Amino acid sequence: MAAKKVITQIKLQIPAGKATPAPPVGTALGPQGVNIPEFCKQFNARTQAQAGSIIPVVITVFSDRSFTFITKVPPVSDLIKKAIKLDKGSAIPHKEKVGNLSQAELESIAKTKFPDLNANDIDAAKKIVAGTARSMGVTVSE
Amino acid sequence: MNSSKSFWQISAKVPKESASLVEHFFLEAGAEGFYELLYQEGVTDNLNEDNTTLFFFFPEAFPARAFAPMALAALGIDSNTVVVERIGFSDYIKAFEDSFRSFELTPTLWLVPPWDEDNLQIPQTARRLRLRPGLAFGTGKHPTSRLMISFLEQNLLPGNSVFDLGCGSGILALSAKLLGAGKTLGVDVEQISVDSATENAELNQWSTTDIQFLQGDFSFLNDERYFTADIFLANILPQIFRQNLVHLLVYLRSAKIWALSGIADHQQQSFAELLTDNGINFEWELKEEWLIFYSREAKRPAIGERFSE
Repeated sequence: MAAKKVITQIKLQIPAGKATPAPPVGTALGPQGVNIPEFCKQFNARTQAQAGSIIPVVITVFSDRSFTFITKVPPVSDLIKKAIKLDKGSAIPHKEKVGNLSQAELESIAKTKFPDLNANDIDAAKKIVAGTARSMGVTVSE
Repeated sequence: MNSSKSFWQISAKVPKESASLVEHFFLEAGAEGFYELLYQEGVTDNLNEDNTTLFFFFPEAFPARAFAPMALAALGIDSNTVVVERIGFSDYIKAFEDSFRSFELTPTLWLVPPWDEDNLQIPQTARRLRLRPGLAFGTGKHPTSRLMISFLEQNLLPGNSVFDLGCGSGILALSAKLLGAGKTLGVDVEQISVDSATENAELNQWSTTDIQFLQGDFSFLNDERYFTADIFLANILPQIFRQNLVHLLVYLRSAKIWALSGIADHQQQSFAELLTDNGINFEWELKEEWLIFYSREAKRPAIGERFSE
C-alpha cells in the first residue's frame, strides 16, 4: 500500500487464462522490470472462468516495480463475433458484409460492455457497438 | 507464438478515437497481439493527451515495413509516428530474473529472490530475507522500505513484538523477524498482499505461529490483542494516515516505539504539523525524497544520513 508512485500504465488484450511470457506480455512488461511469471499466474487464475474470451487488462507498475492490474469486459468486436458466431470480420467492411446483429443482440452487448464505455446511457452505448459492427462488415437489424 | 527467432513490432501514436479502429484493422491483418502504452513516467502521458501509443506484433514472414504506413494512410491517420522494428525473441523470464538480483538492504541484511540463492556476492555473514517480488508493494527497491528496515535494525531488541500495518509483501514484518523480533503481525487491506506476505513467510520457512498476516484496516489499532506491540510500523501514505487519524493517534500516544513512512519530502511540513498539533513528539529522517517519522524510547545514534533541518 505504501508510497505507491505510478511509473507506467499499460493496456493489453490477452485470451482469458492464457497469458504467457511471450509477446505481447513479455515485450510490454519486460522493460518495466515486472515479475512476468507472477503476472501470468495471477491473470490466468483470475480469468480462467472466462475461457474463450479476449480480456482487456490494464497493468499499473509502481516505482518499486510491484504492480497491480484490473481486467475489463472483452472488446466489443470480440463480443460481436461471439454473439453471431463469426470467425473474422470483413476485410472490406463497406462492401462485403459477413453477418447481421439483431437489436436484442446489440442491446445485450451494449449492456455487457457498458461499464467500460464512454457512454452516458444504453442508447449511446448501442451506437458505439453498432459503429464497431459496421467497421467489421456486420449489419444491424432495424 | 511459433518457433521463429524474431518478430515485427509496429508502434504508432494515433488519436484516441481512432485507436479501436486501428486495433481492429491490425488484428484482422494478422497481428498476433498488441499493447497500449497509457503512461510512462518521463516518456509519455497518453492518459491526458488526445493520442495514445499502440504496439502490434506480427510474425516474421509478415511484410510489416510495407504494411504499416499503407494501413495507417488507408485509415486516414498520420503515419509520421510509425516505427517498424524487427525484434528477436528473448527469454523474458530470464531477463526479468537477471534484472532482479539479490541486493543489500542494510550491511547485515540482504534481500534474496528465490532464483538467486547461489549468488556469490551475498556476504557469508549476511542474513537473507527471501522475497518474491510481485503484486504487493514492498520489493525492497523503494527508499521508504529501506528507511524502515534501517530503523528496525537500529531499534529492535531481540524478542520485541512487532505490528506492521499496511504490510504489502511483508517485507518489514519479515525483516523484523530476521532481526530477532518475537511475535510479529502484518495487516493489509488487500487480500492479495496478505497472500503474498504469507507466501514470502513460507519462503523464509516461518509458520503462522512465528509470523502472522491478516486482512484488515486501521480498526486493528483498537483491538487490544495487538495494542501491546513493542514496535509499530506503518509504511503507507499521508492521506491514509489522515483519514484514519483517530485510530492512529490513540496508538501513537501509547506505543513505545513507532515509525511511519511513505511521506514524500514536499509533504514533510504538513505532516509534521499534523503530529505536533496532536501532541505527538517525533524525530525524522530523509532518504531520496522520502521521509520516515519515528519515536523511540531510548535515544540512540541517528540512523541513515542526517540532513539539515
